[in-house]
Amino acid sequence: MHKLERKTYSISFVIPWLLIYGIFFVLPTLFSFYYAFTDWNLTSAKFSGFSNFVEMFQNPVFSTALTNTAIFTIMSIILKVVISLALAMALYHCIASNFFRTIFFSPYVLSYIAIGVLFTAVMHPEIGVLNKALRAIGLDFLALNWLIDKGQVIYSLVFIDVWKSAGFHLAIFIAALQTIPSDMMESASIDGAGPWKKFRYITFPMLASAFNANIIFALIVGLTKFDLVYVTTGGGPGYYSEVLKTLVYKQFAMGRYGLATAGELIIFVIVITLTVTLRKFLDKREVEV
Amino acid sequence: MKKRSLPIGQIVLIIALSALSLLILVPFYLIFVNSLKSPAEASELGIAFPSKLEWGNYSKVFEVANLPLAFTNSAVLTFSSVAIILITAAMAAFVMQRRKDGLSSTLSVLVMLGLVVPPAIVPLYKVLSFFHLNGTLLGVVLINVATRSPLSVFLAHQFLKSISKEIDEAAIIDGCGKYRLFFRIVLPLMGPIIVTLFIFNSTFVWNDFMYVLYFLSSGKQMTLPLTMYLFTGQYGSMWNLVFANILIISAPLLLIYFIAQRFIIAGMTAGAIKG
Repeated sequence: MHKLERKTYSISFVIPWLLIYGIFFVLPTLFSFYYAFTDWNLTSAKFSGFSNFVEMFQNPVFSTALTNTAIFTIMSIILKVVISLALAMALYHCIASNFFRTIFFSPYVLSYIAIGVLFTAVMHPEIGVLNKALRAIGLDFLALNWLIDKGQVIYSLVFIDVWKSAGFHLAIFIAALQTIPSDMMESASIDGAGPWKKFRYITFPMLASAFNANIIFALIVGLTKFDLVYVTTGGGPGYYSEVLKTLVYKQFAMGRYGLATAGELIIFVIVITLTVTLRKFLDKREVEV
Repeated sequence: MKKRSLPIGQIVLIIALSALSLLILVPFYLIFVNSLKSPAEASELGIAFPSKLEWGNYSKVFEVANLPLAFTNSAVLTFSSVAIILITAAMAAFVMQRRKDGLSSTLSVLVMLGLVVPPAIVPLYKVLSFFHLNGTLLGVVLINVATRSPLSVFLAHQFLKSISKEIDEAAIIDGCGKYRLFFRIVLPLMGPIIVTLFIFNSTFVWNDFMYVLYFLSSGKQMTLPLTMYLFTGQYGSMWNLVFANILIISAPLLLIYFIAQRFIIAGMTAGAIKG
């Protein structure tokens, strides 16, 4: 049977995928370990040691991009998880939950280019709908220069990203909530558990894997954010909303391929390190709760 | 039975959620009304209804932004990428799930790497040049397949666990060949997962902006997101046309979404939960 099995499930089934994946994913990844150490540009690629990394770390825009990526990632993880969890709890108890889920999820199917352009209109400081609405309800102090103020812009981009993806994370929480056996809740009620206790000791632990999925997903998306920033602000004003991926693209567009590859390698190391660390931490917690 | 709160609680909840829904619906409405305004009215970016409906905005955008070409390119790019992802991922997952040996574990390591590792885009320039694929749709198709397929292989692999191996054995004993076994018996049983993979892959490829920006930034290969980007750069002050453009490229997706939302939400979240 073993030989027959090997014949039936032959390697020929794997080859098409392996070829494409190997050539267009694995190979460039391996290449990047070499080209990051060259001065590769439009004409040549000579070995240049660590000079790309030295240049990168000395560039003040790089530290801005690194800080912005960190702010973007941390803020978007927290907001996406907290907001979508709150909404999921509300929807779970609401009789019209399917209707609202459909609405909250809908921005997630739109392209970032459409959303980016839309929000440059919505967030226009004088005539944008957002500020007009805030002024109308007396919250003038909240009517900020969303995409223009250099200290504000990265947070505005977080806001747009949360607007797009909250419904997606919400759907993951709802899917997990629906797997909680209802007799568990009923017996807790009979034993006299209030809403808070039920949330703390039943719902919250049962949601552990949905939490982990949402956090890891938001982490990877946040660290590699490109489209939204590029189309909405282009990294501006100045470099105040630059993130790592937009910085890499700009160097690529200037033909500085070696430098751009070094930038990608830095992102690679950050993503792998944080994902693996966070995953270990979350898996351990999942067992504890 | 889920425990329902008192009706008064339900009413409060529904009012609160409706108010929150406005955060989503007002921007959608904004796209719609402004796409039908005159340039002067649209430049106010307001929510007022247009004094006169300018249906001509749509045909104008179609012409100026060369949307028919971009629609065709986006469709070709999406359908070829997704078709190749579906077939190669299903085949790879089949062998990966059925065999329990070194090949199978090597494959699963490769797939896991593909789920976490961000693609090295700049060196792809070297690879594409080597195959003379720079600036071609085919190049971007292959990049999409390579970078997006690991999740599909992973999900197809999970799904195949539910299709009993006894089916394979029975077919083989009856004299069925390996390709016939897969394409005629196993693949049709994978219907539900194929639908899921189709949904989230096509949404992501259709909306992709990054790969086309890197590798298709000029000429006849424009896709919809890229056209929109260039159009906005050129006609940014003509807000009525910009909004008409947003509406034209978003409406098909939203329409499909509202018709098949149950499948789409399930499909797109399946991709994330298992990842």
